Amino acid sequence: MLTALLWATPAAGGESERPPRVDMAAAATVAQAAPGKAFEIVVTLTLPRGYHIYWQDPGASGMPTRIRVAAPDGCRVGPTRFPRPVLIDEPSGRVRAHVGTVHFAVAVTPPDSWPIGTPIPLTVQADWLICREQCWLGEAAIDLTIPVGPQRGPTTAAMTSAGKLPRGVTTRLGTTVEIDGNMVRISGPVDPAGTPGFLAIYRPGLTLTPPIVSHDGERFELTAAVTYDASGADGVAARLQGLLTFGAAASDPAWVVDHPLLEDTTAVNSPEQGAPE
Amino acid sequence: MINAKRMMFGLCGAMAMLLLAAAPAAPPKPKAPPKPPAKAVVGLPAPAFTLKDIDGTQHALSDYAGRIVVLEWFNAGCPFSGRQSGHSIHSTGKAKDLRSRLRAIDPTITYILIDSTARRQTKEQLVEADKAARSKWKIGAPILVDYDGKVGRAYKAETTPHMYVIDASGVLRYQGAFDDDAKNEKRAVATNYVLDAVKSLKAGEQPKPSSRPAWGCGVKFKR
Repeated sequence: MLTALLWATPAAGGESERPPRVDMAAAATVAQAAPGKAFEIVVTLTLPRGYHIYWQDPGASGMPTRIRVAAPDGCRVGPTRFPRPVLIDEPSGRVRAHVGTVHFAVAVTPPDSWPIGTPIPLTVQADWLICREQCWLGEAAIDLTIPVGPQRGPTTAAMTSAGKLPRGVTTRLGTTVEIDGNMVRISGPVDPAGTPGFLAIYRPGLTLTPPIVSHDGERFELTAAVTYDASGADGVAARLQGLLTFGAAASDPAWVVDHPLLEDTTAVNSPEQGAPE
Repeated sequence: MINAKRMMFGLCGAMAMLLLAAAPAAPPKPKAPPKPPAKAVVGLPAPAFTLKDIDGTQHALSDYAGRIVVLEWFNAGCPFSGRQSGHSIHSTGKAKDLRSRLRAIDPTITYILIDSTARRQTKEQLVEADKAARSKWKIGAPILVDYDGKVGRAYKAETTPHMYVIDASGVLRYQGAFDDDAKNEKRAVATNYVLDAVKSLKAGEQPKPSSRPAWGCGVKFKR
């Protein structure tokens, strides 16, 4: 694992608050990569107490945290998987944020032709907006070299990826997502963590009513009406994206929902969300 | 009995009509303009406000009746707004460029910045910081002080920058993001929603989109 200690971009003079320090670390989920096989890079940002950075849809304000992985030609790099956010009520509105130690993951797949024994050089970059009473922009980069060989054993980062980051809802036993006309219905077994909810990700042209939740102790059903105005969609495909959540805490279970709204949109679990199934 | 009652009603009705016809015609009451709603809603009159700028000059939205007004929520300490950064609409020149492009479309357009930042600073410090930012970024538009946040809350301003376009009749026509380039990476190919909204209004059309999620720092209202 490589780490870097980064400070947010210094501000112009006159502020009473100092830019906060953010620690960044990155590690692969495998001891050695294999040609043609996906592995993940887990990126960890550690924030000072009291500060937050933002989820992929930050809500009322903020800027999504961004993780980018630069890989050699032929390697495929997937989208960033975000952890479940916390909801913070600011005077200017509710934001979706991350606090404390925050993990992200990005899948990398080397080509089938990658030679055994030749390590894969990667550059992992992160940028964020970090806020408390004031906001600061920050960025950092770490170079990683991933060995390529037969040792496919999982690393600590693999356990972080499996345990801390939401997976696709299609991997949740007995859970279905259905779109019927303008109604979205998500149903499945209840979770002891608490009441189900849905944290929608903004898509241009798409409006979702607050979901109605019902449950009978064994199964839940979450319904919402959805409208889609293609003329206001900026060419973005009509998809229902968000997190199915249980309970209120960021550490409670959450599952990635990514479902096309129209028959002619792209397949379920597009790479935009891309949680490994 | 029923017939007697009907007759009485008929007589009373006829007398009332005669009295009405005999009364002098009252002058027609001027139609009151629609009262702006307390909260900003696209498609409805924009909430009225009167605020002083950082030089002490008073500005009311009604002063600019008949003109298109663009409002920008501002914070001198926010890296998307008035603080120097690669994402700041002022330090990168994006806001200045927008103002000159708006003036090229319509020289009468009024561009106003409003600062509702009240955390960790006094009102005097806000004014001082805004004056420094105005000088540094050559902001050629009034910066109004909304220290108690009443106007910001009425407009439901969420971020700095949060943009509003009000048409010449005082109706809010666009609210939300400055452009689709929060990280300032698209640059020349970015879509500026404010510019597009004003172009639509000048063409006699309604802006589309009329709303886009605003990005930037949360407005630091007084808690």
